Formats: sequence, C-alpha cells, structure tokens
Amino acid sequence: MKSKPFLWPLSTAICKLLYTLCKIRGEKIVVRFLSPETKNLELILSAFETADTNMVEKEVNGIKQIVRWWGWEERYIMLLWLSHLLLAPFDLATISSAGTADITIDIPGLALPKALPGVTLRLIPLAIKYLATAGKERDSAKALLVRLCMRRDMQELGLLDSFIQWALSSLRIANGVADLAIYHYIGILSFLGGILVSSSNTTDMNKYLVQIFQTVQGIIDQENATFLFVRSSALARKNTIKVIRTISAIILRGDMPDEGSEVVESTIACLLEALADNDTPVRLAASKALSVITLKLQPEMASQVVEAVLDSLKVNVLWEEPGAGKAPIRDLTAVNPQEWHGLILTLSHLLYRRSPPKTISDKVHLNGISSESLSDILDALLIGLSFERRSAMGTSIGTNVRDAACFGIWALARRYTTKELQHVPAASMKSAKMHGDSLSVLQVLATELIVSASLDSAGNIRRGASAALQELIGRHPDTIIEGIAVVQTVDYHAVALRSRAITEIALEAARLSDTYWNALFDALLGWRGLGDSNASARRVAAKGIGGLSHQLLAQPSIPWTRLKAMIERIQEQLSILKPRQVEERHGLVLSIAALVPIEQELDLQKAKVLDEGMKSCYNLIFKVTSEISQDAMKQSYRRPELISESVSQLMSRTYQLLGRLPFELMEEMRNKANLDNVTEAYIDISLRRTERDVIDAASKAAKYFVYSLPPKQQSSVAQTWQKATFDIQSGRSGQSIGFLFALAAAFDYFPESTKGEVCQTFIQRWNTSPDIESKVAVLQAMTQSCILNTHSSVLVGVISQGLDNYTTDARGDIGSLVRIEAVKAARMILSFVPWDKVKDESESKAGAWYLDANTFGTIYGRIIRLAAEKLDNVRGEAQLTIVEACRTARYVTVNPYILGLTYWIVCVMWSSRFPIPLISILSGC
Amino acid sequence: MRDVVKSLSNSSHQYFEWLLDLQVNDWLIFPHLNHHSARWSLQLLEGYVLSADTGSEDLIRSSRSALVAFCEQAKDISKAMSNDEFSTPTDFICSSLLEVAKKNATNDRVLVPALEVMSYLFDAGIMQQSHIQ
Repeated sequence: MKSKPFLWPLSTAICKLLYTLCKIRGEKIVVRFLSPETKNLELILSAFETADTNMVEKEVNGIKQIVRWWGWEERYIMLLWLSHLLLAPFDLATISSAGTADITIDIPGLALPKALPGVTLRLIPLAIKYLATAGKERDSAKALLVRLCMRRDMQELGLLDSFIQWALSSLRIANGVADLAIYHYIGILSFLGGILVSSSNTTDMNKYLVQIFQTVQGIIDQENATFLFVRSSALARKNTIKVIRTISAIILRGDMPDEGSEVVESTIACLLEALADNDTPVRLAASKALSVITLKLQPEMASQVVEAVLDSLKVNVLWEEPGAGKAPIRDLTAVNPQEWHGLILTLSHLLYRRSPPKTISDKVHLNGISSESLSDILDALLIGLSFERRSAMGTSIGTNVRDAACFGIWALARRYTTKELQHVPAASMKSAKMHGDSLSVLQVLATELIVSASLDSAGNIRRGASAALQELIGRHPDTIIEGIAVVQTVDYHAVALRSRAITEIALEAARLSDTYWNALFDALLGWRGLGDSNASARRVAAKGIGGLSHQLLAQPSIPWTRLKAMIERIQEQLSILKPRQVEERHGLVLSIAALVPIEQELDLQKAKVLDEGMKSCYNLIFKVTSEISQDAMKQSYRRPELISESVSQLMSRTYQLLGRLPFELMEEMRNKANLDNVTEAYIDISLRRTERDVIDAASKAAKYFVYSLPPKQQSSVAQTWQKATFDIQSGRSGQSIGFLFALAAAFDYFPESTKGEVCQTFIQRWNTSPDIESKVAVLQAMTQSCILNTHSSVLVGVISQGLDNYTTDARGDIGSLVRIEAVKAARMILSFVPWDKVKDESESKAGAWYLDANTFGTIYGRIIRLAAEKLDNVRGEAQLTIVEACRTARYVTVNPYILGLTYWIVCVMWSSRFPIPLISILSGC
Repeated sequence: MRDVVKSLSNSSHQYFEWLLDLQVNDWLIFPHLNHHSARWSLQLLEGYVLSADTGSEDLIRSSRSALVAFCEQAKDISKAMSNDEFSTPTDFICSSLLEVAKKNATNDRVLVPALEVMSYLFDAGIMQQSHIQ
C-alpha cells in the first residue's frame, strides 16, 4: 500500500521545530546539539547548492507557484549548521574535495586572495547572498561569514582583510544613490558587528578599528542620500550602535592609547544622542552600550558621562511657582518622553553593571559613581518612577520610563550593599523632600515602590514595582518599616488587577505605617488616582481614598482633625483646577463624597449632641457640599454628565449623613447648612440627563434628600417630580426617566396618599410612552425600589403588559429588553407573596393579586411562556422566576418520616426519567 | 428543589422536560392554585413552539427531544388535567397545539412555528397516536 505523502517534507518539519527551539532558547545553545562531524560539511553544502539552484512547482493557496525547494526555516538552520561545522580544527584545504578549486566568484568590491580552498569558495557566495536578505537567514549567514573569516587558516590566507575591505567599500560606495535594498546594508553592518565582537579578546581587528569607525560614523552623521536611507532603518541604527560600541570597548581595553580617546569620545557623543531615538530597540541598544563603555572608562571620564546623562534629564524641566512660601513644582510637560526613557534606562544599566564602590567614606570617585552622584541618580529614578505623559489622543506614553526606573531600583537593590545605600544622603534628594528628612534612602525608595505597585495604571509597572520592592526588602533586611509585612501585602500576584490593587492592597499597606498612608494619599490625589483619564479608574481611586479615611474612623478616638485635613486638602486642589479640567474635578468631588463619614458607627440616640471635632467636621462637609453644588449650578462644564454624577454622589452621601442624626439635631443642622434649595434644583437638573451613571447617583441623592425633609415638603417634591416625569418633547426616546427612578427610590419615605399617586404616575407613563427605553425604565425603577413590596396589586397590569412586549424594529427583537425587565419585576412580586400565610382564598386579605387565579394567571401564564421562548437571556430570567412560584421542598405533602430507604429506592427506579421531582423529594427528607 | 431547577441549563433537555412536567404535576407554591396546573399549558406551548422551531440548533434539538420524551410516557394524566377528554400526554400536547394554532390563526409569529412543530410530531409518529379528532 502506498503511504500517504506528508503534509511537509520531513526535513522541513524538523527545521521548523529547530527554529522554534532557537527562538525560545537562543540559537547559540541549540547549535551545540547539531552534529560536529566534519564529513557533513561538503554534504550539506552540496545539498544546499542543489536546493538553492533548483525550483519546484507547488500549489500554494490553490495557486500554482514556482518556489524554492527549501523554506526559510531550512535555509536558516542549514546555514547555522554550516557555521557550526566551521569550528572544525582541520584546515579547510584538507577537507575540500579535489576539483572544486576553480570556482570563480564575481562579487563587486570583493577581491579574494588566491589559493582559497574549494569549501571556502563555495561557502562565500551562499553566505553573501543570504546576508542581504530580509529574513531570518541573515542572522545565520552572518554567523557563518564571521566564523569563516575568523578561522586561523583563512586569516593567514588574507580572507579577513579582503572581507573587511569589501564591507567598507560596500558602505562607502554611497555615491548619492541607494541602489540596494536596505537589508544589504543591515547585513553588512551586522557582519562588522559580529566580526568585532568575536575578535574582542584578540588583536586581530586592531588595525581596522579606526577605518571602520570612520566609515560607520559617516553613516551616522553624514548627509547624503544613501546614508539617509540607511539611517532611516531602526535596525540599521541599532547595528551601527553595536559596531561603535564594540570598537570603543576594544580600544578601552588599553591596546591603542593614541588614537583611541578621540574615537571613544565621539562614540559617547553619538550614543547620548541615540538615547532620544524614536525607536525603542535603538534606545535600548544605546543605553546598554553607554553603560558597557562607561564601565571601562577612567573614573573621571565615567563620572562625566553620568553627569552628562543627569544634565540631559534637567533639560526642558520647567519649574512652576505656585506662590510665595511654597516649594516650586516640577513641570515635565515639555520633556521628550523617549529621551527620558533612554536616559533613565542608561542610569539603570549603569547601576546594574556597577560593581559596588569599595569605600565610600572618602568620597572619591569610585568606579565612576560617587555617593553624591548616586543620590542624584536615585533622585532621577524616583522622578522616573512616577513619570507620566499623555499623547494628543489621551493615551499614556510614559510607561516605558517608569518601567526603566523599576529596573534601575531593582538593579540598585541587587548591586549595592545596605551600608553603601545608607550612606547616601536622603536630604539631598529633591524628590524625597515630601517624605520628610528623617527617612533613609532605602525607606524612601520602598515607599515610592509601594505607591507604584498599588496605584500605577499599567499592570506591568505594578508588577515590576512589586518585584523591585521584594528585592529591596529582601536584600536589605531591617531597613524598611514593617518590611516583611509589606512584601507579603504588596504581592506580585495580588497587584495584577488595578481595582483590587487600589481598594485592597493599597489600604492594607497604608494600615502598616503612617508613612505609607501619607504617601498613598498623596499619590491618590495625583495622576495615578483621581487624575486618571479613565472615569471608572477615578471612581475606584475615590473609593480608595474613602478606604483610607475608614482607617482613621476605625481608631478608638477618631482623629477628626485628620479627616478635616484630608477634605481641606482636596478642597484646595479643587480650587486651583482650571475649568477645562473636568476629569480631575469629577475625581476630586467623588473623593470628597467618599470621605463623608457615613460608614462610621453612630450612637447618637443617647448622646443627642455631637462632640466638637465631629461637629466641625460635619459643618465642613455641609459647607463644601454647598459650595460645590452652587458652583456646579453656575458653571457650565465641558462634560456635564461627569459633574452631575459626582455632585449627585456627594449630595447623596451628605444627606445620608444628615439623615443618620436624631431628628432635632438633623433639623438644626439642615437649617444651618441651607442646602435644600440648591440640592433640589440640582437633583432636578441631573435627573433630566439620560446617562445611567448620573441617574443612579441622582436618584440615590433624591432618596436621602426626601428622607430628611418634613412630610409636607416631601409630598410637594413628589408632585414636582411626578409632573416632571411627563416633560417630554416629541422625537426623542427615554426622556425624563430619571424622575421615575427618583420617585421609586424615595417611595418608602413618601406619605401614604402620595404613594398611591406615584403608582398612578408609573402606570400613566407606561401607557403614554410607547418607546422601549421608557418602558424599560418604568420596570427597572420599580424593581430597584420597594414599591412592589406594598403596591404590587396595582402594578400587576403594567408587568403583564411588559411580559407581552414583542416589539421588533431595525435592531431586532427590542421588545425582549422589556420582557427581561418585566420578568425580573414579576420575580420580585412573586418573592414578596407571603405564601406561607395563604391557606385558602378566603383567609388572607382580599384583593391581593395572587389570590385570584385569573390575575395570577396573567403573570404566571406569561412567565411560563417566556420560560420556553427562544431567546436565551429571556428564558434564563424566566426560569429563575418560575422557581419563585414553585414549592420549596418543605411543601412536599408526604411526611418525611415515612420515607424509608425502601421507598427511596423505589422512587429512584420508578422515576429515573424525571430526575428533578425525585431530587426535590430527596431534599425534602 | 429550587436550587436544582436553578442550576439546570436553560437550553437542556431536562429543563424542557421539567417545564412540560409542570403542567401535569402540582408544583406551585400556592395550594389554592394547584388544581389549575394545566390552565396555562396553552401559553407554555405558545412559547415552546418558538424554541422548538426558530431557536438555535441545540435549542431546537433539546426542546424537540423533550417534547417527544414527554409524549411517549405511558401515563394517565386525566386526573391532573381534570378533563376526561384526553388521558395521555400525547393527547394533551396535540390538543394544546391545535388550540395554539387556532388562537393564533392571524399571528404568523406563533402560527408558523406551531404548524412546524405539528408536522415534526407527525414525522415522529406521535400525532398519529392521538385520540383527538
């Protein structure tokens, strides 16, 4: 039997696998497992040449194409294998078969020495061909060519020399026209880099160094078409950096003291410039190169490099003068975030590579970094850790700077001893000022890391900061307040979700020490909390601030002055906001709302008086609420829904606070606060909006507002809102639905007579508004309140109509939205039925909807229809609702005690078709 | 029992079988309504035919198989129905389907699926066993 052909040839499949391994583990590791037997060399070479010259017809995606025998993975792996085989210790001349030496190679600029062995002559065209390709083969072709040139026997024949001349002439050809593909130049540059790296411990390349450097520097700074073309590729720029870095490293080894220093200096200048490159790989290469070179420099020069980097960090940093007596504020809006990434990364690499200074007390330069400059570096890292910029689109573009700073602190913690770090004067660090002068550098770093780990907007920064924190505390024991507990709290896995990090991790960390509490509070007020561009992140941050205040309220003698100070601080920040900063205003007002201490336990019924601190705090809250709502009434802001939501939230919490007081006290405070008029007017404005967030907050405010009013005003407010429910202009759907929610929310607090009217309002709105949004709103408002608890019999008609809504339009079955809400409402009224009291129809209160089978059927019959209908989400809700109408097991009429085991087994056998009734009987036992 | 039903997937065979069983067994919480069990069968089938004809593939499959399984029970349900006219689940389903079709004669949204389900029951050989004329 003929076996099926493989999907791929076996060799292709193997090479694909090997390539994957290379990608994961690195080609240098994988290549070691390939066979080193010299006899394979010519075999592979021949196979390669055959595969390379022959084409095969193949069907690709249904189209017949002429393709090469081998795929790129095969070529990549084979070139890699060839380069590995070139490690053979025998001269290539001895392993070349006879009769192959007469190959002629015609490559422009390449003047080959005479008497090259056959293998070499066959390898060269292959390697050069693939050195200029765009694919992955370029890497292995480079490795092959480098290995070939660096062989002792080939060098003796002069092959290295001719290839260097070829490479340089290819780069110099640049007579104004870029006639070759960019990959040609990238290949040559990477070849030069490879040669230099592999010769870095020998003197083989010394005579070429200056020559190569001049050529490559020409590419970097000369203005001509070819060089501009080469420079336009990030990969090419990265390779030039690698070349000049290696040249400098060889020079600094001390072999060439004469011309060397000039080369090194211009290299450093190039690298400093490349730190601001637009492409991340180039910046990464430049910063790494800079740290490698600095490591080898004389101490004086090394410290100059460090200073140059630190100086660049000061460029374009503006200082805002907020007024007399206050410290100026750093303004980073003018700096280039890319450059900052490069600079901070360089500092981090320097810290990572630096062996620790041997002594620090005599303050000489030690390995380039003195303790003063170390403190400057730390200063820069701390600024970098909270660096943030927003692009014109509003997205964050400072993340990589913070990432680099995390790396730097992590490296610092690993490379320096506790003693060295404790010697760094914390007082000289500008960014550490706010932590107070008494803290050590280590403590300042740890505090900042806690803040980053629990508040940062980017997940990888939170995790990076957490990892750095663990390193810092682990390597420097007993220097951080509550160190072990901090590590356990700010755990790498725990900070993954931002909302959890802010509302749980940050609060637990704050509980450990006041230092952390203060730092977290400060940071929550900034861009990492209330200033976030995302509204839900601001809500979470406000919740976090509320959590911080709960820690104060939990203390036995409540520090009201501290709570007041928190509110005043936010109020001050609010006062300096510009009108366009609505997002910040939203966050700040929400955070004041979160600070209103309604969670505090109150035992006022006995005392009837407030203690002084509490009273002044309450008064401050009323004053702030009044000011903010007055302002919100007057000003028209850019995004009114955010302002409405936050101010309504504040009102709701303030009135809740008021409502908790005993009656006389409440009256007294309410009259004094004089909030009622502005609140009523503002609630009215907010309820007219259509955004659900606003309506939720405003109807909650309405609820507590009504609660605090005297009965007369309660019914007049209800009347106003009922009237407003019908303020509808034609043409738009879902208008004034906020008032429905407000009426429903405050329903419990209205006088009895008003309650009936409110129900009528609901029915009337239901009947007059044909649009889906209004119908959904009526049902949702009813479900969210206690209106169905007492007045279900009146509203049964509305619900049963809702269950029948099969409206369809261009959007499809939009009636299903109404049906879902109606099913939920039905579930609610069913759950309110006092079914254990209903023995028979005559006994309980007459007129209840569930007593009459017909009325009951208007709900139940429709529910059971919806329980079988085709839309999954409707069916699911109806399923839960029918369950409400069904017995619990308690109602099984059989006495459970006679249900012996025998009966049980009979049941199983008899009703195996009906698993559910059986289980219900069992659970009744 | 409530928890068991709550945990049923609402697209499963068991769920639909339970719904049909609701018609012939006393499940309601309200003792005074329990002899009305089958009173709302018409409405159940109005919904049921939508699932059994216009639902998604697996919904059609599970609801139809539950319908057939229900009809194939050899069980006297005349007591639960308080109606001597039909005594088997098949009779009950067939007559209810007929009622659904009659009631919705002008409402295509229900009429078409009801007829489709009837034709399916004919294919399955169930309609033929019915004693309804």
